[in-house]
Amino acid sequence: MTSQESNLCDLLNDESFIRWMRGTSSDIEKKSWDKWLHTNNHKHQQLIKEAEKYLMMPFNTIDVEDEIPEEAKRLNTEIAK
Amino acid sequence: MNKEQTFNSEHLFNSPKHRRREGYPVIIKGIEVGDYYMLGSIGKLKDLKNLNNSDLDKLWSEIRKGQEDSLSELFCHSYTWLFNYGYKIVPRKAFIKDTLQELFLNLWKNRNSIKEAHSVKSYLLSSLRRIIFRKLRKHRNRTERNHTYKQNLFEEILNIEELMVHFELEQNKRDQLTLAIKSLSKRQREAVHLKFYNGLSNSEIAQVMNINKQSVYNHISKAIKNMQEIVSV
Repeated sequence: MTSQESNLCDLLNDESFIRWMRGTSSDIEKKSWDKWLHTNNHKHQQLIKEAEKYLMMPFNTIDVEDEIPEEAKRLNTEIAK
Repeated sequence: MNKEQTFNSEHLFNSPKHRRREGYPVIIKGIEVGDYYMLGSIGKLKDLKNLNNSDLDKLWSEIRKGQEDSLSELFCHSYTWLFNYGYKIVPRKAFIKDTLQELFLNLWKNRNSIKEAHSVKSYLLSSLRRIIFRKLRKHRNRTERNHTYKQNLFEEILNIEELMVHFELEQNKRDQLTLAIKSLSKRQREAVHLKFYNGLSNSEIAQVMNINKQSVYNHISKAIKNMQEIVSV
């Protein structure tokens, strides 16, 4: 594994980094990752760009939202029995 | 998320057209959702798709106390991602719908004995997984002579064409990307689905898949490495 791949794997396996990317990190985490970003800015910007691609990957999904009301009713009917 | 499907909770809460009355169905964007659907105990009406972990914990706690509204809310919030996870294991709609019913019915029946969930999301996913595999074993025992037993186990979790667009790849990389995805094991694909579609942490993935955290790390890293060779920015 190259150094770049290793860095990307480590980042995408780091929950703190993912929280920071998603904007849900604590203040301490944010400070820490903001500092990391500004150290070796170009390289880390590149890693962030790559990480974002993986975090936003499109998956095959099925749209089942229309079924929710009926299925929720079904559940409530069973519970009421 | 399709913007047209977003529920505008503030508008609904204040609009006389949509205000809940006993026995009258609530209509959201033209979809009748039932009078139990929207009003729950999370302070004000919220977009049920965007509940955070703290909201889920609150719902869980209320379910344990016997609040049926909270069960409905949790069901409605989690239906789509639970369905899509289950469907990746067994691509049969009716089967997954029935299994989701069983999951939540069991949750309700056992509300007095269930504990505080460390992660509501991973609890639901791991429970769903357990029920699916139990039902498959039962089904296989009955039908193996007829060879009708089939499960997909995370085949086709990713759409190659959409990935090509997403990673801005030239067409000549299509075959390589397809091979990279197909070369992942079922466990690796499941870990990728749980991490990047369901947004679970490695600890939560370990709980759902009943493996250790290091194995999760290895699965995710292998998947990234496989794709990285082709999609490097």
